[in-house]
Amino acid sequence: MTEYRDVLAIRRPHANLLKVYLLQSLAALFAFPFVAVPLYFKYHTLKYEFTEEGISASWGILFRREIYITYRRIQDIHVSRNLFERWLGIGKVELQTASGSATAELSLEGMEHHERVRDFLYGKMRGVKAEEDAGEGEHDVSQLLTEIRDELRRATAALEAGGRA
Amino acid sequence: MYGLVKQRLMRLARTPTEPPEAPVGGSVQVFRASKDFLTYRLAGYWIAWCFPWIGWWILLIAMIANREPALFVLVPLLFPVLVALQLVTYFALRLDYDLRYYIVTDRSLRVREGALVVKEMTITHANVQNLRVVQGPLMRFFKIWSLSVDTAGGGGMQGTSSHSVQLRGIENAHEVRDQILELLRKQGGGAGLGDLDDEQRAGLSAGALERLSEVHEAALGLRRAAEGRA
Repeated sequence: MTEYRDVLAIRRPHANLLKVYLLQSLAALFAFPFVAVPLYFKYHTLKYEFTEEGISASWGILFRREIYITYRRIQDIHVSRNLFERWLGIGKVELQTASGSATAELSLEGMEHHERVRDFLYGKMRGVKAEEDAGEGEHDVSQLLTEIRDELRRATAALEAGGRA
Repeated sequence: MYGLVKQRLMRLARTPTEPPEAPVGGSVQVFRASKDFLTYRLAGYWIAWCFPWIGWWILLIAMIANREPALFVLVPLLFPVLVALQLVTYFALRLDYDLRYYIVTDRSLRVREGALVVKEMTITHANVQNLRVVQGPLMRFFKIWSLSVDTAGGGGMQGTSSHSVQLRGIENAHEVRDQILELLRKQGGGAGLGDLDDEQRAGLSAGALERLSEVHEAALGLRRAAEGRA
């Protein structure tokens, strides 16, 4: 976890996300105000929190939204970068769970170090560490059983020695 | 010509041309779509472009035969538009092929594609639900396949859902499928719905069972010793 301290410290999207939103709004031409205003407020209220178990995102003023996803429920990680995002040096990390939605359950927009975020989340996904962890757990069980066996043998020896005396 | 335009465009659009970084864990196989996939796509491209050009030739003949003034404006105008569109679609198709990368490791699968919007998808084998190998009639002619790797979750049409990763235009689709299935088998069961990993499930290995047997014998010895003392 300490390796990804920078990822865990992310609380807000990069400032360039506002510029991306502005460019997206301009692309809407006459609908500019209807697109730009909600995006402006989204940017200013967008917050992320990476915890030990999962990640949450919240945004909105009139309609507040909060999404929480546990790392182990992540099915797919998508990283996408459109032209504007590449020019401004940010990316979007989209997370999918096994829900019925075709779109991403959680989009981490405005990620400056999107590859670090992707690697961090990948490391937390199910199936990445299975073999290593299983081997470690196996070792622990075996060691514990060996200790119990040795204790029992020592108790037997002590009992027999006591009986002879 | 194509190489030079591509180089300039990629620099301008800051599009990564090198393969994506491989996910951590085990062996890594980086591969691309087959060259026949490009030929297959180009065949479809030329077939599709036949129709607008046939239409243009019909208009040209009509212009000469009928001497319609509107056609004298339309036909010459259409020609550069069609040429420009054809060039753009040709570059898009070539770029789509060049910027397509597939990575398979012991634990996961990563696919990157796209020139305008660069998309990179990563899934672990443990979350795989279905593996589909698809081949159309034209693909059969070029001996290429598409492998779809689906994870749990719904919505969207088959093949277009974001819960699906496509390895398009590969020759060894069955090999890759079997390899993923083998890796799945090695990793054990699970529904691929975020189940707990193997170490957190019940069940002990042969080594642990052997230790348990020794513990049992030691406990028996202890009982006998206690009985002997009594």
